[in-house]
Amino acid sequence: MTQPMVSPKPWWPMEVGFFLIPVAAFFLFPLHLPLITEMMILALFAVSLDLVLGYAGIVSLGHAAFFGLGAYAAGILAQQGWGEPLSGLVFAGAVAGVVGLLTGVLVLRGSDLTRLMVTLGIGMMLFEAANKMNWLTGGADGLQGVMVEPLLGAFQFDIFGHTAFWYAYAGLVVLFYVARRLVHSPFGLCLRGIKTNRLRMSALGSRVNLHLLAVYTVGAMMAGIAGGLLAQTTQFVSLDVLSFERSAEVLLVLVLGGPGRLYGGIIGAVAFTVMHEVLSGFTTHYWQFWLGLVLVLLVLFARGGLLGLVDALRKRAARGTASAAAPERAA
Amino acid sequence: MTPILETRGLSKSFGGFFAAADVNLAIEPGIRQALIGPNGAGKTTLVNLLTGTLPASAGTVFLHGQDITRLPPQARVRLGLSRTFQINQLFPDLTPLQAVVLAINEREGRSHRFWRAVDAGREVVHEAMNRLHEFGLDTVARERTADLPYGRQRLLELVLALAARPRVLLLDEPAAGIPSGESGEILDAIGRLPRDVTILLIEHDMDLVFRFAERITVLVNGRVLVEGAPDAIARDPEVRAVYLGEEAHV
Repeated sequence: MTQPMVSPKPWWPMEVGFFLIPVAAFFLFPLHLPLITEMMILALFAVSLDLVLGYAGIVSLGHAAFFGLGAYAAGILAQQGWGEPLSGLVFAGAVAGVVGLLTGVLVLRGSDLTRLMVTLGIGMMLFEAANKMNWLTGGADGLQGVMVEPLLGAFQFDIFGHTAFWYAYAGLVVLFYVARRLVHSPFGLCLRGIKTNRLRMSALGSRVNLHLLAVYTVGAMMAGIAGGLLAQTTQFVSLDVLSFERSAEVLLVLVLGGPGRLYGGIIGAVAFTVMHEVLSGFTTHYWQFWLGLVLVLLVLFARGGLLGLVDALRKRAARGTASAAAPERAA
Repeated sequence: MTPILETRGLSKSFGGFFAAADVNLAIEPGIRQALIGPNGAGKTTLVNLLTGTLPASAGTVFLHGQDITRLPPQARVRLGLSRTFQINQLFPDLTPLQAVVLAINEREGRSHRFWRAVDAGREVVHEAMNRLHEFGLDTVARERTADLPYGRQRLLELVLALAARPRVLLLDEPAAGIPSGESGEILDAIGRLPRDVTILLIEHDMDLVFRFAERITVLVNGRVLVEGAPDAIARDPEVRAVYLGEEAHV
């Protein structure tokens, strides 16, 4: 008998290859490094939402709350004189995580609609609070004077964005690795169980709410770190890190790539950024029209996003070859 | 012998209507007891009171002498009170193997482990395969649950409940929805359930009840009408009048 596998066999070589693509991009597109850095941060942000939405099934219209909190936490810390980047990131994750834990209690109960409204409401409150607390956040003018020290005491954040690129890349790879371990663990399986059948999970003795709270907190921490990365690499924080548009954007990115598969967040971030660049190249103001069209088509005809589309095509191809081979075998 | 599951004066009222009224049950360890009653007798309400899905209006539930009346459903499961559902409650996208591993992880308190892979729990996977094998599901262990025939899914429902290693198992109409010609497999499975598990069978299929039950409780209008051995129940004039009588005349 073969080894009884519970989770699908990991496909390491392909995954390693996938994560070498940004390295290639570093050399191929040296003038676009800030854009690629931002793309990687968006990818990390989308992966954090995937844990919450794709794996645990918690819908959210306010995930930017944690991204923004992380951005302000890291930004304000550096502005106030603590410019060491790594500890700044830890601080960003911790602040977002604590708020995730506290607000998670509110998100647990109720239906999807309740969750949408609660997350939306919390996001709105944080946005306006940051707007109002001018003295701390710089309000609508943004947070000025963010001074980030050299990474590891050696690598200055340079104007070409080299250090920023590798910093964001490392952040994405490390946290993706954490997320990947998490979804393949007993905890990850438990989340999938809760997402598909909550009633059965509690009939198995599962502490459903505790698990949901845990993943919501982890998702918040990860989003906070993504926000912290943005603040440190751009050395600036503007109010829009907390905006509803950012929450909607990350949801869109995840749905575009395909939720519940981790890589969907990354693929979605790449697709979104590329579409943004290309489409706004010939219609500066109206590019979102085309984005909307793609989104509608994808959700209607290819549920599971771009990766879902790839899966469906692969299955169809496999079925095609199988049915083509069947008559031969019969003959 | 002290009963393993006991209720004293258990009641549930919705507004002024009593769906369960002063129910006293005392179920002995290891026994196969059936709970029967016409539609609307309050069987489902009683199951929900026992499992904790509904809060009781009055009365007490004891599991192995411990008062569990105020405990939430998942805590009761961890104390050894497990159930199957009348309508399958499975994980359509997971394989039977994944589902049983999930159930064992919950029982063993492993479900919060987030760093090691599921597959690293070799003994869990091993136990899951054994449990599936016991019910002839090992051959489909890696298929999608949603793709399995209904009868197989019904068996998986049973395997999941057993994986919690219950001391008391509530079977809520285990053969529901299976065409009578194909119910043999599930009946065999119920007949082979280990003796150290106490079984409370909620059923209205009389064949099934009289085939397995060693004791029968008849519920009518939320109250226990009578309780006794199967042959006594079958002969009881009151039972025949309100319940069996209906079928005897058909």
